[in-house]
Amino acid sequence: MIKIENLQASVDGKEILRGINLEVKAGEVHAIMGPNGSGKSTLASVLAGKEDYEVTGGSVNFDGKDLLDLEPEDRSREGVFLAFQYPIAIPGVSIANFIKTAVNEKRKYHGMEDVKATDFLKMIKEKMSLLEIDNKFLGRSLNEGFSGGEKKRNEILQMAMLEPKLSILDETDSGLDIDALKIVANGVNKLKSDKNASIVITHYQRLLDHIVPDFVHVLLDGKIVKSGDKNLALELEEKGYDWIKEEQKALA
Amino acid sequence: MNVETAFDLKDKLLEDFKKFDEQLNGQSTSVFHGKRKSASEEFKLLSFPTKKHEEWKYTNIKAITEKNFDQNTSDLLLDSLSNSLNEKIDLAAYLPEGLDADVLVFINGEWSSSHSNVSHADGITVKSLAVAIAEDTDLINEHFGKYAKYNDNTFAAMNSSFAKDGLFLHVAKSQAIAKPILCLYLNDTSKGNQLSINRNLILVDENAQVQIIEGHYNLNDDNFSLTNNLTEVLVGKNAKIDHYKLQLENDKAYQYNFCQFVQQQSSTVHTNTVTLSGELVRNDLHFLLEGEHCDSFLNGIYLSDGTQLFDNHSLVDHAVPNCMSDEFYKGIMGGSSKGVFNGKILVREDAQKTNAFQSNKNVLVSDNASINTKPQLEIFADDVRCTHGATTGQMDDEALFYMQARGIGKETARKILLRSFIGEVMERMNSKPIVDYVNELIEAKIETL
Repeated sequence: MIKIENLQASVDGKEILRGINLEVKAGEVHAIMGPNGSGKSTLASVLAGKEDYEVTGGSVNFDGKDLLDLEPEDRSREGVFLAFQYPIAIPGVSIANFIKTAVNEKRKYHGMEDVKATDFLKMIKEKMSLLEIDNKFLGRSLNEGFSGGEKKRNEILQMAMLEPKLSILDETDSGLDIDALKIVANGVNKLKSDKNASIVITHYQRLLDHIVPDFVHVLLDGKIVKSGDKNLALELEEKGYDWIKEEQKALA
Repeated sequence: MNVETAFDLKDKLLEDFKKFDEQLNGQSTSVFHGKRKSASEEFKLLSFPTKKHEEWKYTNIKAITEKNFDQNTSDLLLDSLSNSLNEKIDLAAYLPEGLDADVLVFINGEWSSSHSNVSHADGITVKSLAVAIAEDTDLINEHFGKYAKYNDNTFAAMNSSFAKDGLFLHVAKSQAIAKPILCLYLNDTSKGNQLSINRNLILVDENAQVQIIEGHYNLNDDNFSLTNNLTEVLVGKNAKIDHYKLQLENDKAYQYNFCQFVQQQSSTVHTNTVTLSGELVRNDLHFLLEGEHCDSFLNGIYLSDGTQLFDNHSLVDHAVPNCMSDEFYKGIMGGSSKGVFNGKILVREDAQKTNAFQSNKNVLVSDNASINTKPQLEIFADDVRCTHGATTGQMDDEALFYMQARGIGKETARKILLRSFIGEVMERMNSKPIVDYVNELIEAKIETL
């Protein structure tokens, strides 16, 4: 589905990603772990097309398309979804209107007509019950005055409505208590199919108790330095990142 | 090269007044005309403000004062009649859908009876000021010119010296007007540069309620127009007014607008100023709270582009204790347009327990647009709660990216953000037909920004 090769990116002239290689196939869940400042969120932003980052080398192939060549909105319409670590509040725009606009922009891109109001309402209510979200949510202004848990559930609701091929969850567990975390993880698991894939970016192992990855990668200084299965996450939880740093030094 | 003496609008207007004065026969000794004469004397002493004037620092009106404008200064009632013979103007574009209102149409500052449609309900007097001067002389003599001060205000003195027509509205005690009053001020510049002077007197007695909508438009763009609009409003005890001013003139139009509200005890005023077009618009919105427990809400929206300049000056004078004022203005500026916001809150020594809020927020959508915003608090009482804030920013890139990441195109995202920015003020407006009408105009304006 997505093949990242030797991806390098910098911000304000400072190199953050120093050659990332990663392939994710349909039906897979990949976790990317790493200490603060290792480049995890940068990778998510670069894939979503944030302008602040300059891609200095490498390529990203997404379902046969050169992802880096697409505008951020077209990446989304092609099926890339980034769940933000810090979702933005937009006062005066209701969740219902926002999601409807997003759904219709995607449909237009694919040559489809606008979704019917009744179909949209039916669909969003289904997804909301799946994610245990109250109906009152729809009329509220986007992320305005939301708790951490509400913001993250709102992200997953948008994901459910846009039905992406590839979801990138950037520190989705941050700011969540264990109950909210379970609800969000449950939602992600329910949306999982053999046609879509996820990249779960996280600092801690605890999210991976609920969203079980097929692969775990360790990002250090802008490079994936170690890959394994879910047991690697447990090992990191227990031992921290220092032993990997030592390993890297020894290799150097 | 031809060297010409620069044209001076003031000289021309003084000439106009002389002619106007001379042609009035029976009226020349009336109390009303005496007030006009005093105003003209004051006008003679004043000069049109330049940028050296503190209150006009950012608003250059040279383009106005160097142009010649003609006004209709002939006999008022006759003109009103001749207007009724005019070709019928299609008013559809100026009538908000779903608004069932009494409509008063003023063309170049004169009432047009044939375009107006006023129902006559008990306890309510709605008519042309020109007619009221003859028919409601006592009320006019008592109230006209009493509330809006023209000292050190050239435009107000000018308006007061030529005042002859506009809206006269009197709502008697405990009357609630079922129908809103819609005033349409239409400029017709087909014959040359046109000066339109509108003078309104609104008296709302104790416990009465009324909704007033004012709309400013140009019928054509052959020549330049200058509108000088002055409104005095006396809000009686416990009375309620819901007021809208929609400034929608064209890019050959200049407008000066002065509105003075005087509120008596426990009265409530909502006033909403929406400025979406016109080349130069200057608003002076003044409130005097002279009775306790008054509420005043001042909402404003301005969207400018091209070389437009929209200047909103306001003064809320808290003269007595226990009143609340809440001012909320938002603007979007594009092109090389300019905005000015100057909000003065005056809390006098006696005005304890005053609550006064003020907020002005702006978004600049082009590098050449600018805004000068200045909150001005003068507080002489010690037990008060006053807050004010002004912000000016660019488009929020983080919010844009967030929307793009959801598949919403950058242009669409931009428009959604601008709409929602203005939406916060729209939410404070009460009239559904006006909100719908204004939303549509805002939508169209945002397309151009």
